[in-house]
Amino acid sequence: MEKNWISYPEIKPKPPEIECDVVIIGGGPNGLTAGAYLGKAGQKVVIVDRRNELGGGIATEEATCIGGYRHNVHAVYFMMVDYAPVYPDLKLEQYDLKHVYPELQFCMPFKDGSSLCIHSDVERTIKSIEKFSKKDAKAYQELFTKAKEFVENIIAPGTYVQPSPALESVVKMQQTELGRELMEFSEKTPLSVVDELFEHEKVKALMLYILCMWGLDPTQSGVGYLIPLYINRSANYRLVVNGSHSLPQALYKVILENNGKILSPYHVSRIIMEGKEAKGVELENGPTIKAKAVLSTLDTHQTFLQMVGEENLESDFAESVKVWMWEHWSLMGVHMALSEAPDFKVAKKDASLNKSFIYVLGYETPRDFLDHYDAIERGEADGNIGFNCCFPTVHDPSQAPPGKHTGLISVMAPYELKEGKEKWYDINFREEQIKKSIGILREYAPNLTDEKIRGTYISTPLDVENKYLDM
Amino acid sequence: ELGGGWCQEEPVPGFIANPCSMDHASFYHIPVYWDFPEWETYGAKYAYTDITTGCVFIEDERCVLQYAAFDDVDPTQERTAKEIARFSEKDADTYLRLWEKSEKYWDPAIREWMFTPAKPFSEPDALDRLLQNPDSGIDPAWLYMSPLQVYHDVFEDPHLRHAFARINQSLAIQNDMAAAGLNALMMIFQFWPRTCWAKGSSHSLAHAAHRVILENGGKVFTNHDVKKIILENGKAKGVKLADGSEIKATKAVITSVDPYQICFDLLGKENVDPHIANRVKNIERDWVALMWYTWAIKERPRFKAESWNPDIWKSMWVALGDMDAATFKVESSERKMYKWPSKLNLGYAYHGPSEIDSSDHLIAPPEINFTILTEQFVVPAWSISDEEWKIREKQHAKDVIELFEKYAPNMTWDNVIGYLPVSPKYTADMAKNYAPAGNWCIIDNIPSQSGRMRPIPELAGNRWPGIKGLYCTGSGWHPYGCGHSPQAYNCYKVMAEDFGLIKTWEKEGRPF
Repeated sequence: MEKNWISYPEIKPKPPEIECDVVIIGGGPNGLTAGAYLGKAGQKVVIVDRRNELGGGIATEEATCIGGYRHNVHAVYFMMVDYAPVYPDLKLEQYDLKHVYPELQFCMPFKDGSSLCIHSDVERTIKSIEKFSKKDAKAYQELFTKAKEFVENIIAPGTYVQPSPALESVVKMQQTELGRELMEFSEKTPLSVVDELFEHEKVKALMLYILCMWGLDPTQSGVGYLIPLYINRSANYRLVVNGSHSLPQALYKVILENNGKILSPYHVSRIIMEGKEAKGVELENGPTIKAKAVLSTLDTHQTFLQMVGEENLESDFAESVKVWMWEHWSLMGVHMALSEAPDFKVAKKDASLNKSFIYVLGYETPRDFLDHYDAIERGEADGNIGFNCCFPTVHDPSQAPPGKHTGLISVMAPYELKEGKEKWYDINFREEQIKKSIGILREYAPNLTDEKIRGTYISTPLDVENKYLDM
Repeated sequence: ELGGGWCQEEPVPGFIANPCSMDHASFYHIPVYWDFPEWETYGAKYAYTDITTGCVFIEDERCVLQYAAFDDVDPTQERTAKEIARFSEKDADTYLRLWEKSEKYWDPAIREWMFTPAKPFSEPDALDRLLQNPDSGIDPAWLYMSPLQVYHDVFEDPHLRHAFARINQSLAIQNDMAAAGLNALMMIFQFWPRTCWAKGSSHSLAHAAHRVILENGGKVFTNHDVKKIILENGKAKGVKLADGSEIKATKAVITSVDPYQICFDLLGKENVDPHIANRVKNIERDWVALMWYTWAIKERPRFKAESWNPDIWKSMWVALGDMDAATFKVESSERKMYKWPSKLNLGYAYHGPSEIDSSDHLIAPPEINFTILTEQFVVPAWSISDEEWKIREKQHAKDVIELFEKYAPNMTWDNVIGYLPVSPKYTADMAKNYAPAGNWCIIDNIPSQSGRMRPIPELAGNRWPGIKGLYCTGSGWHPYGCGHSPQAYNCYKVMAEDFGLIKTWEKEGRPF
């Protein structure tokens, strides 16, 4: 007893064993959502995460280290808010979760002073495209209408049900006219769709960017069913009020209110296997958690090869896990703390263009984008000539001190540089990337001089991997 | 995001750093662990290294260090004394003699003093009783001396004096302030050998606490600005938010903000006794303003002083020192004139000690593994413009690396991946509680603002005279400003008295 009141480590109790119904590895959006549903269904849930901050990539941090500027360091554009059942099911608005849905969704300014816009109102988008090509405007109208049909009838409902085996899906798709049409899309590449439908170079450039900004290879076929989704969603992006992290905060509260437990920061050393059954997890320097089921939100390598162990897997399955491949490119984020909002050159004629949610800058033609993409293939950071960027505080002032602003540039960039991925650790190289990206932005918004930029923060592809192990 | 100073940021993504609260001591939350054992399970865990503190010297490339007093390292402090004996046998004997006194008398008294609500002057507290004990080893003259005077009084070797002066500066102690000396001396024994860091980051404590609160039926709302405390007939009845909505409380309102905000914003001057308002207005709060940079680096610093003791790099906290006896007085004088220090007195700590604690994967990427921080006390946020801060932030990074390289030749810009420039300006803007100076302890940790006088004698007891149902806690309260738990624990104790709530300390017969 005498020692007890001097010092804590000396009274450290042995970690207890915890029993629950389901233990979830990973407290990102998937782990939290699953945990909230299971908790509401009466299951006793324990979530374990190696980071003490939950939410995975849905993170908001004062990353530029300027007090009061909150930066969404990973996820910022939320595109399924209107469909995802999680919002109404868990009544997330009761936990202060709100979104902003900017009317002007995309603006792509060009060097000649023109600009192309995508609005939440399709009629306004059509008018914007008409300024470049009447034919393209009509093509967009048809594509958008069709895409909406695909999303409403097939893609969105299909997103929130369990995946069916590939063959079964094909059979099912072929049973309807719409399904057959979507199957045709699947075989197309983003580039071929853009080339087939549109004639004007600038329209093509924006459409190609929109289709590829989430990872579609411009020349890859087989996943073209995503094309209608991206076309439809390009008019449906939303921003989370107070920062993206408000979403996991809300889910966190739902879980705890439904008797769930959250343990972090803890590293899962292994999944406890009894024969073919997962019975819990062991934590490094933490309690053992016994459970009826284990739910892993991590990548297949970590889950099966590291935590379950190859000795507990059938060899065919282990082999198929091993051939899993990661993308060769990723995103480089440059975050800025700004003393004023950007004033785009194109907004001189139309002030509303300063209110776009997303800007696509640097590309004039599809060739520009393809050149950038090719440079990524070669592992060259120099190929970064364009990107998308956004200024959340223009739509939600709460994310910076009064009158101040935040900005985020998202550049597609190679993970493995030709000089080796360690090059991403070079502080001079990092600073060059920041400078270059801001230089491109400044060509379009010249008011953002160095004096207006109070602080910056960069997140490179290697940083993404370091921060979120399963990415 | 909850947690206040228990926050975290990342100088480079994946390198987790503590931008506000790093060195904790093992006694910070003792009763909290007793009363909420689940807090630890939920992630409020600590780790430590063999060496807790050190100071490296530029002139002779030597170092002074303190080994951890934890049971598995150096519980008798004989290893530390042995290191001190390399400088002075006499100082080593003094150190051991005071260590024994500290173990026997100082620590128990300080724990009780910390975790017991402030008593009025008329009632002796645990510290008063300690001072009355003729066997305590405390020379009453130390009560009135400055830290520098005490170090000179107690230790003969200049290395030791300098080392303790610099490392104690981290606790916001003013080296040349009269009457701060005894506290500074005590910290050498009861704080530094017991320092540790929260696993993951200090923010882990906030999340673990949040879980305990929600499990016990509490609700937490962030992003809501409280504008006023609602008063009815001299009683606090709830709070009014910036959006106009009101939260009613049938029993009490607790504030954890600084006394200024309570007096002049939340209550309004018209509702505060003029004597209290005057004293609050006169509180000192410009001193604890620091440049606290966290750095992601490729390899650990390789100190020249490793030739003197190869383990110095394992020290959680290292001061980059020299033999200039005037350095702290000069710095203090400059800072009091709101002038930027003409010379750095840099403190360094590492976070992410995976080379030492191989089980800790939680802080930095496995192949690189090092996040460090550097500390320099500077001028308050309000004293220079934002433009100047922007320039200072860049220049300070250059100054730090330039100096660091002299102590550890590999600490060049080639070793740096990125850094996070926490300045007083950042701290002041991060939360009103730290404004306007960016004061890490909310108000200065000086003798006239410590213990039963913190923040002012009338408020130290956690109640607000003249207003029923209003309770105050936070770093601006008894015992002193720090990221620890006594302020909140004592506030609960006072409320337990007023509302007849459970008193576990009585039930279990605990000393506090």
